Amino acid sequence: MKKIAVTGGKGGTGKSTVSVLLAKKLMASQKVLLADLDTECPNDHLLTGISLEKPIKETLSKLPEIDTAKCQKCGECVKSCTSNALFMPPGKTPIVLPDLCSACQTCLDVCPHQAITAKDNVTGKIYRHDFGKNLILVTGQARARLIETASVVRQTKETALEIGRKEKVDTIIFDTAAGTHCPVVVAIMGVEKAIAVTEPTPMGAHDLDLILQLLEKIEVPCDIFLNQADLGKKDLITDLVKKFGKQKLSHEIKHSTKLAKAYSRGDLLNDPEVNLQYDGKI
Amino acid sequence: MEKVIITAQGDSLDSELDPHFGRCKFILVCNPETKELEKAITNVNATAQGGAGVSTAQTVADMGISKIITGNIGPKAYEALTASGVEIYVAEPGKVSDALEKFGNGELKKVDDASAPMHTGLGMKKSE
Repeated sequence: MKKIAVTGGKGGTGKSTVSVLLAKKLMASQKVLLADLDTECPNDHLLTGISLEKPIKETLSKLPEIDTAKCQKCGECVKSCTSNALFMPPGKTPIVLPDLCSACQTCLDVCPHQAITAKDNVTGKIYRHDFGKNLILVTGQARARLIETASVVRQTKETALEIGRKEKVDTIIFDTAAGTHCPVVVAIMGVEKAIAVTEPTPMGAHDLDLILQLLEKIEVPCDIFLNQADLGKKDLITDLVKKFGKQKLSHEIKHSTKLAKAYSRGDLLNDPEVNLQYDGKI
Repeated sequence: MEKVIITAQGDSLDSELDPHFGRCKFILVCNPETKELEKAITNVNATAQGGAGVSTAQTVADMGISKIITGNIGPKAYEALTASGVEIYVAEPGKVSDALEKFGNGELKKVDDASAPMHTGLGMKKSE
């Protein structure tokens, strides 16, 4: 099973569009699984015209629970919490702010009085939709207001990989969130290749620079797709591509009203005139 | 008279009040009676990735001062401060010295609910 991540740094450059169109292209000749790992605002289901109905699974995080009888109010847990999810009112047992907790469980380890235990807490939902025999969409959706979503991404990815193995999928595409933070790193780790989607704007270049640095660090080779390639300032991107030792852009997608309309109708899979023109190796 | 904490954009009484609580630049400890600045602390949470409100609330609670003056307070910081018995007063934009003066005259409103939605300090506009 081949694993590909579609990423790019900046939001709104066309990651989901490329993911869906890539899945559409590949599903003509093989079995594909598209995993929407942008769990804070998944939208591959919108682009493919379906709605998220019954979840197949819930994602869980172990959140700390403090035993007031055992707690000596030393504050060690509060000091250890880099997410600022613990707060100690003076002279009282610390309180847990679940929206901020990343479930790292460091507080459990540092508590000198073993007063903290971990308790399962629902952090999100995982959905599955089959489009005929050759395309499965797996979507992760984090609970509203949750700040630390990396574990929702991790669990959605594990579920997608499990389904992929069971269903004998040939290629799995991970559609990542924007950014270069933990939820994106978790989505990309372990893939054979990434596709970085960007746009010819200063912000597109700035964020592409960051994602290319990240990909270099975690040693994931990548192709660069430039969306809206005939608008804006292409030099911003081609200069950057050279800085990272690449000869040229892997693919250019020109502005297309037809594509934009199919996108807005949730018709990317069905519209026969909208396709990814990329001929390179995936 | 009991000391009061004021969130500020600078380290003196002439500084502007900082409307953000969690991401305020400075935490000023003032004496409302003598109208003097006792201490200015740089708020290390100003650039925290997340949970700035809770972390700044922890700083305030640990100082043992039970009254603060700020612009807006988010829901998590509000929860943390009220759990600590800290009273929160809001002041309009202006100089720290003016806020201190108004506080001394009993002209500032004490809040009994979070006045700002989450993430107001992360460059987001307060919803009207």
